Amino acid sequence: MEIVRSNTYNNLEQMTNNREFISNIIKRIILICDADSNFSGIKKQIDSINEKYETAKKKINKQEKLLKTSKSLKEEFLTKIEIIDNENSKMRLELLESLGSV
Amino acid sequence: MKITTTNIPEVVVNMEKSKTELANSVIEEIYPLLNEAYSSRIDLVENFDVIIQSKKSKVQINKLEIESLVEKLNKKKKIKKLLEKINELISSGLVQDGRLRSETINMLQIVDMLPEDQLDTHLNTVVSNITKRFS
Repeated sequence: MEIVRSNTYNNLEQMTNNREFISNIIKRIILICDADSNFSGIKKQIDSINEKYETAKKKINKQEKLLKTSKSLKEEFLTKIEIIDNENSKMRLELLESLGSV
Repeated sequence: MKITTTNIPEVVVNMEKSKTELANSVIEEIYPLLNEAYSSRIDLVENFDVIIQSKKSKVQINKLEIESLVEKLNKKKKIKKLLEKINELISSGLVQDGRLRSETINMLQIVDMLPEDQLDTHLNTVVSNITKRFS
């Protein structure tokens, strides 16, 4: 089919016909899609998989957050342990010295 | 005037029939696209499931490591408290006699290796000795 595009007055009728035809086609597509069980079936499947996708994405973000927090917690504990360990070693040596054992 | 040649079938006799045919041909083009989108989403979700499992193990490992570090830190704190109490005991002049002195030296030498229950026992003994001294 040839679609005529023109802004001239003479072709106004042709233009209107084209527009009406295309508009009718779109309406018909929408009607068929609504009535077509296969179409709505696949749409439901896509919605369902999209929901799973979003849930999985949220879960991964939550896990990322947890991993980040746990990493900083580990570092914090390691630092605390190192500090207290050094203090203990120093005090232990001082006590042994005061008891005349070193 | 501009004439565009399209693949849209010519409307010859039945306009309604032509519209339906055209709509069906458009839908036929859409189905594979939807299937493709669906398959690609399925692949992504499956990939996400693998990532989730891997991260779940990492989270579990980190949790165990943190629990172990908390335990270690608590033990170090207990040792610190014991050492402070021993310092108090020595400062008060209670560790001058031979037996208590050698016991304290032995304990100080192995204090880091002592299990928590023995640390508790030693701590209770030292605190009790201090209390006796000042009661």
